Amino acid sequence: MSGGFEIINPVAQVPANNEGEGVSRGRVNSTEGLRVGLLDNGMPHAGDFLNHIGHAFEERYKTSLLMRRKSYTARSAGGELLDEIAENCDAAITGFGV
Amino acid sequence: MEKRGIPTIAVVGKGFEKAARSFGRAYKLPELRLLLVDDTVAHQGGDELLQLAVGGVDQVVEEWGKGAGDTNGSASQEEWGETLIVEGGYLDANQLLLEMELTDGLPVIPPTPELVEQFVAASGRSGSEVIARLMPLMGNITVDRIAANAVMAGCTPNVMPILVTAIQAMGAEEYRVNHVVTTAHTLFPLIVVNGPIAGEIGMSDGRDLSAEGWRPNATIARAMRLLMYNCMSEPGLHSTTCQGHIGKVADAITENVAHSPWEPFHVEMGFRESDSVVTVMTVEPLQMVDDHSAVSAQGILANFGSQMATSGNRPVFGPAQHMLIFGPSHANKAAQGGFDKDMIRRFIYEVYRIPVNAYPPESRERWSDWKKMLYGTNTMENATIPVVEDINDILIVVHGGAGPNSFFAPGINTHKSVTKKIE
Repeated sequence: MSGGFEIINPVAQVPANNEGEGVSRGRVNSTEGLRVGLLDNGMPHAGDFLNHIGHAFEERYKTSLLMRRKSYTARSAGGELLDEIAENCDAAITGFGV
Repeated sequence: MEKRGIPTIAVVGKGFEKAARSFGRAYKLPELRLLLVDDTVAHQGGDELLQLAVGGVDQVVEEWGKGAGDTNGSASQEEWGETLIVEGGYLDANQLLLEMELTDGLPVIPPTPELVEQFVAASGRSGSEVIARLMPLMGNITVDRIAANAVMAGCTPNVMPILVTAIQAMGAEEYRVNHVVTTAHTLFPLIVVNGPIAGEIGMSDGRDLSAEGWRPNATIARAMRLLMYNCMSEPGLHSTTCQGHIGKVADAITENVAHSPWEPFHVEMGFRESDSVVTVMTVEPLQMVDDHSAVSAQGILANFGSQMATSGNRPVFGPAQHMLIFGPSHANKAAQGGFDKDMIRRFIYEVYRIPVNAYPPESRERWSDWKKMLYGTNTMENATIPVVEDINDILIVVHGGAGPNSFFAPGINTHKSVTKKIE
């Protein structure tokens, strides 16, 4: 076979109109006095990292912190946990990994 | 969190950026806020971790300050098109697919329309039928896309019903395909085919689990891996596993029913013997169970048990299924000793347990709630923990040829195998 030929693309097409509406992002306008949620996903040292960055925010911007950890690394955080952070925080940091 | 109106940034190792953005698109958040960090430093801790965290503050503030301008849904990949044009011959097609990061690195058969059409016809379905949309890509996994990847893997058309059913099974919530595709943990789907179709397509039921010389065994698992590359994750996101393993591209088996003392696995699962059935189970690399000095049923089962009852792997931290792949010799010796599958499960569950004090204290903090409740960290130091939380999570199949050898296939926390009849 030479001179060129066609092959089927093996990649699944992602519909342009994937179900549902896109998420509208909020914005932090001021960091002073911000309430920051820290969600540890359970990976090694994730809690240490979040503590470090949380304390840096405390020192620099006088933020308050709410630290929580998922029950299991490879599972999504439960709705109650997310609700708690949403109700008590203005912004959040999660990690590590996905 | 963003859906709840809370600006949120995810701290992600650089090696996981593609996976993270893929999840973002799947969750309708194409402009995911990320703080990318060096993977190695992130997982080593120490002063460098502190510097990494403090150094990330400004970027976190900057990302939090980005707002509503980017509100569109998942990005379209229409630009990929239905077909690709190759200039040249087969070798050029291979080079093109390799450069587009759509292969596993080994040569593939170019999926020409004629070949794909043959495979679609063998499925008995329409090429445009969407079989599933799986995380994190959430693309349309159509019959013709399954066929294209099957052609590339070197399959024969008659495996199409197995691949279609395996994709359907991986769509079950309990299978948790998103984790298998994006984790650093070396995990892969072990595919077990039961019923008449296994013999009809010429799968090996013995001799060489890892598929040497057996085209269906070798190519079914490879096709599934290509489908994971091309239809479940972002193109180019081949794997995020820390090490990887050859089993990821080569473990598809069928039971050696003729030399098994027990009923076939699919019959145990409630299907008729005449049904053709596919099981997908997420496993870590398989471990050999092989002690030639053990010749009694109890001795052989002790080897399985001691292989399983270790504290140094994650599956024992929470609820997980494990599969025991008995070689026919081991299976028949166990049966001659009076053990059916339920007795094997009971024997291993009761006798081969993990001492609580085998776990470092920090590991116990990560136990499941079930383990914490029963084996709290400050009491019962002499207690022992079973290898599974539910005795029925020890799955048993018979596969292999001659020889006193078996495999233990460790599962992973919170994943369940899925067994589905080929329709």
